[in-house]
Amino acid sequence: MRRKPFLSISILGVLLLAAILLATSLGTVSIPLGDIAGITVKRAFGISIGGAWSETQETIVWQLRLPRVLGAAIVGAALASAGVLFQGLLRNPMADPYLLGTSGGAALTATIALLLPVSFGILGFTLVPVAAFFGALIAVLIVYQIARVGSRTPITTLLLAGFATSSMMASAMSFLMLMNQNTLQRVVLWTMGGISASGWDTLIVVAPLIVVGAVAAFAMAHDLNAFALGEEQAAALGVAVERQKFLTMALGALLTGAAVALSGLVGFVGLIVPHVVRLILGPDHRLLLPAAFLSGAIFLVLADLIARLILAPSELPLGVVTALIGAPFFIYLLRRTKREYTF
Amino acid sequence: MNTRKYFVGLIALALIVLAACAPAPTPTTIPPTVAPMAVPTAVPAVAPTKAPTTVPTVAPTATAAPASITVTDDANRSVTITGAPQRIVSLAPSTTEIAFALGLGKQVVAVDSYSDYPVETKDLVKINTYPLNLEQIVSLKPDLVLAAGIQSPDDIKKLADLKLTVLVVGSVNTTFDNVAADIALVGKVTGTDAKAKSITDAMKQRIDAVKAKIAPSSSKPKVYWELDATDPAKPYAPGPGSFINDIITLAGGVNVTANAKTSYAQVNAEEIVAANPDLIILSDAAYGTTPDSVKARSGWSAINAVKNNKVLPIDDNLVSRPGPRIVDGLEAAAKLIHPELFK
Repeated sequence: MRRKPFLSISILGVLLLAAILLATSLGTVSIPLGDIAGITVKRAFGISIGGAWSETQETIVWQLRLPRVLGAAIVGAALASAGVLFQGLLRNPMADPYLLGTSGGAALTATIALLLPVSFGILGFTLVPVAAFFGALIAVLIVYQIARVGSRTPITTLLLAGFATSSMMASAMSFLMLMNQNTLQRVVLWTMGGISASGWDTLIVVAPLIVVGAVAAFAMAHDLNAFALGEEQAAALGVAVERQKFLTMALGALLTGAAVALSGLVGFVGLIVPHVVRLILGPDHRLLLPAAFLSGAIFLVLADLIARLILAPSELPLGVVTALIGAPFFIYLLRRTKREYTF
Repeated sequence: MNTRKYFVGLIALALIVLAACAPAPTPTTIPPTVAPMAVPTAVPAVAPTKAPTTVPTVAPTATAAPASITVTDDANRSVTITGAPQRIVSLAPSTTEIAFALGLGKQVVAVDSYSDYPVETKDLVKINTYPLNLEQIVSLKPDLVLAAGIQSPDDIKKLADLKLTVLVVGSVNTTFDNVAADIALVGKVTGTDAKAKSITDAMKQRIDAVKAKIAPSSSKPKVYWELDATDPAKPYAPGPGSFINDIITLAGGVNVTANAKTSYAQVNAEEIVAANPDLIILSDAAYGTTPDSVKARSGWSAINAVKNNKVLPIDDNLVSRPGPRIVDGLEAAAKLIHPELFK
């Protein structure tokens, strides 16, 4: 099904805006849309356009909800883009951003950070997100080094090295958790994923990082398309294969690391959103990458909204909601395509 | 190709727009919503609740609320409170019980979902604490938030960032002296110093009374105190440095797990059988462990306590909440360990 690309992107953009507005309006406390617009304009630009809302509502919208909703959007966008990158790199439909060691590395370093009795605060970041970010990157670096044979990195070796490294780090993390039972709950909650309302500080640092990373990924769309034909074909078409592999891995790890720093391990988005977009809009990376970026954002904003509302005032971990909502939808889409889903 | 140039142009445009728009919103502060407070001239009296051993009610002395008080709480934070708090939110059962014991029941507007004592808490708004629901707390407009030592520092920071007055009461380690200091701390900050002193004095008297009764006795029964038996082959018991270890010693018993490696220790059931305790106290009775289920465990029938039918449950809430009721816990333990002295 081919759609006009700009129409699709515009529609997705509008849907994202609608999702953000909806998610900011609903919650433990409901706030009308007009007030949200007014509060945003007032706090972001200093212009007062009138309207009556209480200080409590303003605090909730500006300091709690808006950063959280935008955080969900940027994390969803990052994970979906990283998913497209890794699926393109590994040419495997089961590939997700956590496959090459990122999740194991991030989880291990986050656990270590949670256990250290260190008070750390830079730019509003506590130790855990920073540790998770670098843990993800270091893990991918290790995997890359393990899988490298001379100047080449065979894909199968990459996959296996990623799996082994991830398992090793996950075991180390379990060991640490057992030895420190009183932090067990905090670690488990972190691994289940959730956008914490940390205010604007962390968002301001991470969001540009993700946007720049994603835009760089968009530029690689052409090469990724060639890559889908196989490494030899891609080389014949003029793609610098090994360099492309490294760049894709690096960008994917960067996006995943940044996302994990903001939200812990939110599964499923990076795996399924690329497939959903492929089913609807086709596998051309030039459209797939930006569409996945926007769709991931929409998906996670809505998932976070459901996570907050369904058991209010308690909250479901985000990773639980993404799987519960995403899986049936994906199955429905799979069944709906009359022809076989070729990746 | 034309499309490629178009995309590059679009990306460049996007980058320029990103760089130009949205100046980083500086998180401005909102003046804390502190309800204008009339200086109370008398501390409201609270009728003693139905618990068998209660703190004696002392006629409240008319205390003028302090104009402004600065204290250092148990997380080493400097906290300033102006006037007597009228809207208190308690985030842990221990702080709830302290607040109510100090006669602040009318000022408590919400408690956490685990607080169940005294009965007045039944009709209060319940706040979700894992994960911490910030919107709920903000919408209640509290002028004092009481957090226990187990609340994670991240949560405390988030509450403080929202300009809420947070008092961290209690460290991770409970001792009788700590708890007395905590009660005094809350009393100081809420203008109920006199009541706090009468509570801590009464607690000291009761502890001394228990010590006096135990002193002449020469028998020190071996006690196995079970905290958690989700896996009966590897139950959890109090180790050295734990509060319950202190209680067992004060109550005139010998803790069979006093030489464990950590204060919350997972022990092998074989060690318990080898230690052959005279008495088994079940803290996990509330979670479904009954004396019969303990007696039925294979190998446990050799233990003295099982043979003599001295497997007894205790109310875990009396020993796990660092508040005024820990004295009730001590007395309950003493009655179980030395029933002959406490007829």
